[in-house]
Amino acid sequence: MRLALRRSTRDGRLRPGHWFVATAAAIALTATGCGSEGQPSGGGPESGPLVIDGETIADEELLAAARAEGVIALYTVMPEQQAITIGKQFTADTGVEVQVTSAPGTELATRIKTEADAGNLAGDVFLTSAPRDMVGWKDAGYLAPVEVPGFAEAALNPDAVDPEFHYYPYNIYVYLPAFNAAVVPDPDAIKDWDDIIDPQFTGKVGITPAGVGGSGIAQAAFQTEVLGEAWLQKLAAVKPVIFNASSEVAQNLAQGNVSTAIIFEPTAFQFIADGAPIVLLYPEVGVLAGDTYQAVAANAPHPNAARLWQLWSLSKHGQSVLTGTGTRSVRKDAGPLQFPGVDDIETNPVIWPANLTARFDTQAELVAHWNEVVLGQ
Amino acid sequence: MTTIRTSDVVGLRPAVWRGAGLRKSMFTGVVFALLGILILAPIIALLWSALHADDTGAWTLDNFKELASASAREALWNSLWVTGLATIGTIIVGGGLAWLVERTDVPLKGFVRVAGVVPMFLSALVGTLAWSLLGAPNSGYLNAVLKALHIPFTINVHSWYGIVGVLVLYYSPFAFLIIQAAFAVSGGDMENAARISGASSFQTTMKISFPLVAPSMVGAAILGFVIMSSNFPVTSILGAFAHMEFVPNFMFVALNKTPSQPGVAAAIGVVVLSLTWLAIWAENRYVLRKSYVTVSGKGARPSLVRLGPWKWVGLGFAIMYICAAAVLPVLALTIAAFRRGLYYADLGDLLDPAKFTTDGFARMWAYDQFHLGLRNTVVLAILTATIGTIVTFAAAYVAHRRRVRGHQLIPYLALAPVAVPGLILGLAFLSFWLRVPVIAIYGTIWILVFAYVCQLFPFGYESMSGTLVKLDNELEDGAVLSGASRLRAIWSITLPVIKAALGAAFLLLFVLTFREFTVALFLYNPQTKPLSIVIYGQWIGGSISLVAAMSLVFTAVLVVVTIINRVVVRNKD
Repeated sequence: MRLALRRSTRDGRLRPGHWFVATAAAIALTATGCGSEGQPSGGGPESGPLVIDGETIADEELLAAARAEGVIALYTVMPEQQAITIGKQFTADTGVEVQVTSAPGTELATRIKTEADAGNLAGDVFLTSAPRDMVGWKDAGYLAPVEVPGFAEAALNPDAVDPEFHYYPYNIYVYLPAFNAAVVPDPDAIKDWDDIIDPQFTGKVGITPAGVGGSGIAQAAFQTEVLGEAWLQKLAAVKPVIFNASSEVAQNLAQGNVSTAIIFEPTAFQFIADGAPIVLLYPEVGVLAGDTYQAVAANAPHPNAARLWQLWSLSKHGQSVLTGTGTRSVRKDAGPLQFPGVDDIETNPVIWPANLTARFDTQAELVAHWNEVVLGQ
Repeated sequence: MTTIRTSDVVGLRPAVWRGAGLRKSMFTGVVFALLGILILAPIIALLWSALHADDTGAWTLDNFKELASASAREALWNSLWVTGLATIGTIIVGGGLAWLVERTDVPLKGFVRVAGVVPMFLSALVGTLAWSLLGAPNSGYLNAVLKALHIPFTINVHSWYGIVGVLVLYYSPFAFLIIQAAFAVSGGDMENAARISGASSFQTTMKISFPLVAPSMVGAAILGFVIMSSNFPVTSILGAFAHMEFVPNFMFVALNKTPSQPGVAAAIGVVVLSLTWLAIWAENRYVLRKSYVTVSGKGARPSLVRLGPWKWVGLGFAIMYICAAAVLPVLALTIAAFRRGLYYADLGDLLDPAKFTTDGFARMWAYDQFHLGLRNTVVLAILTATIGTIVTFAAAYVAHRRRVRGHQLIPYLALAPVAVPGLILGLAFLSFWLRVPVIAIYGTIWILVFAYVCQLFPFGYESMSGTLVKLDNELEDGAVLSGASRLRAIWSITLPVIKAALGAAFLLLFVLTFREFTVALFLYNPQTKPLSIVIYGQWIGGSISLVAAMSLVFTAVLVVVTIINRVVVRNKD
């Protein structure tokens, strides 16, 4: 190659042939670089099983096989930054990289179905707040069973575990009322769910719609059944600003573009730690709490790395990493809820558990009713 | 004098040309096959999706019935009037700047020309993000300035007029380029005659100059309307506060709701496509049937309109435009990239040096998705530009040499993607390639490359056509007569002659691919995510300093490639 190039450029002029050779070389180089899988970046024991703080998470064989695969692709409803933070700890513990695709639940469900139908599923592990999607994926054969030893005994809600181990609860998500103390006229007057939809905040209330994944359905259930029909109508009357992602709600509350909001707890912690004057409310009537569910793909491109992720993330250690990012654990024995830069976190609020698995038959009606009352559709 | 045509000589050598004819047929066949796969098939697949039930696959019109819903009607209506207003705005801004450059004595003409083009290379996504930082009613930097100056006025880009304004800022360059080119080739005879007959500069401008470039203005309006009507980031980022539904968002939600409704998304796509094609038909029927011929053998340069003191207003208009479309947005992104924290109390707090840090860039550098996105975008741009240049050259060659039956069809096919909004094109590719499991390119970078090549085909084709039409056949035919095969003659004679044009087309396609966002929305996967998608994802996630840092890098790459492009184009000219 070197000879040919030297000969052909002897006159110092670039001809189409040279241009195409150069471009072909660039394509070859760049195309091979594109989508290449991450190499193990170190971390964890050099050999032997994966044992952290005395807890055996995976045997030697699985750890070695996962490292050979080098990477997992995580499809998650969790905010990307948080998933990356957790993924980094996984990489440090195991040497396996984590590629995160974060999206609202419905968008993720569409992506998974589209890729599966095309026979080209790129995700290894799925995390969703919609148990109905999980059941559908299990029935469609998209999921692989992975038994996580000791998890059911440690789980706050063992019933949420699939009896055939296709999916597990992974974390508890919390949605609660909040306001921006710098833009509301009287911060002390805002204490409850009713206060955030006071008419003075018309056009200044940020929410996510009922149609966005399991958490959206859970919010519709909570608002309809706990806060009541009159509350829903008051919400509609203040013409809330609808955002497709909970992070957008938090961002706009932090910037003061909306004054009050129904906010996703870990995202709120992130902005509070950044100095945003967001105040979180934990009313006596309770805040909404629901389970997310996690599963390994049946035809996962990296099956061993995916199994390792499932075992690691549901272990006591993995769940303590989770609580360290401001997200509530599904285990009884995980470490305390904390977020760097946020003090006085309410560790034991009154919660209203959204039992979505008992609402499979009514969730479409719930969403339709919410859309009709709040959005007028 | 006896003229011997190449074809006459060719006729004397049937043995040679039989073999060449076979190769020619194969070459032409490949060109038509590529045009079919890249352009026709996805559109047919879109129509198929719209006419079939998502669950049973049976023929149905139910997907179109869904379009009677209140939200679908609202989306169509909003897209129509908001994009319509924005289109008028782009014609006024782009056409106005083009007129200043070509027909007036405005000072610093070179600067005005650059001002008309530069925003095209900033990307509407980055521009929208920047304007959200500048013009949000509470947190906007400009509003902090207004408050500090005690000016009781609030800028609000989170509104219908904010959406129109941002669209006008970032799509006026398309109108500018088209209308400027029309002014440039339009002879000045009629304008000069009007002046001699006593018409004022204003009368000449309004009654002669602009009417003469009317076809280009209509063409620019249609092109602008098509591109803007499918713009997802502008309406998605700014539309929530305005409580407005738009077609791209409606399609996105239809595709991503549970259960997903790809048929409904395809149906609204078919409706938009039909409206677009109707507009193009109307343009051909009613606008282009008149004669606008002004370039004749005795063509004269038009005398420039002397603006007097108004020339400073013209220059001020260009300065304001480039400030609003490029300078202020880059400034806002720079502040956001270097500032710690999203919240600020007032202008002093916003500009407090203690709050400035390079953390945003450090986070960007440590952010894997940034590297993945940048690498993917560069790969996509190289592949699209390379394949696009080759395929558009082949198509333009077959069309212009006119040696094969059906060559008249090529321009129609090649320019058809202009009428397909980007979001609909992405959906069309999804519909098509999911039905072709034999060639499983869904989930790979190739589906993005093919979609980009299709979307940008008209740009590459026009660039190649413009060059080939000026190139005489004699050199290439001479080589064939001397015994070279046609492909060898193209390789050794034609391509070296037009290498600068090839380079210019390559760089144009590179830049346009680099800034693309909407087409990729349905087609990327975790490994093939382009940088524009990564930036949008982080905006949704609320990491503003990271978004700003990535946007600055994104813009810097575009600026560098654009400068290279300008140099190459100058060489080409």
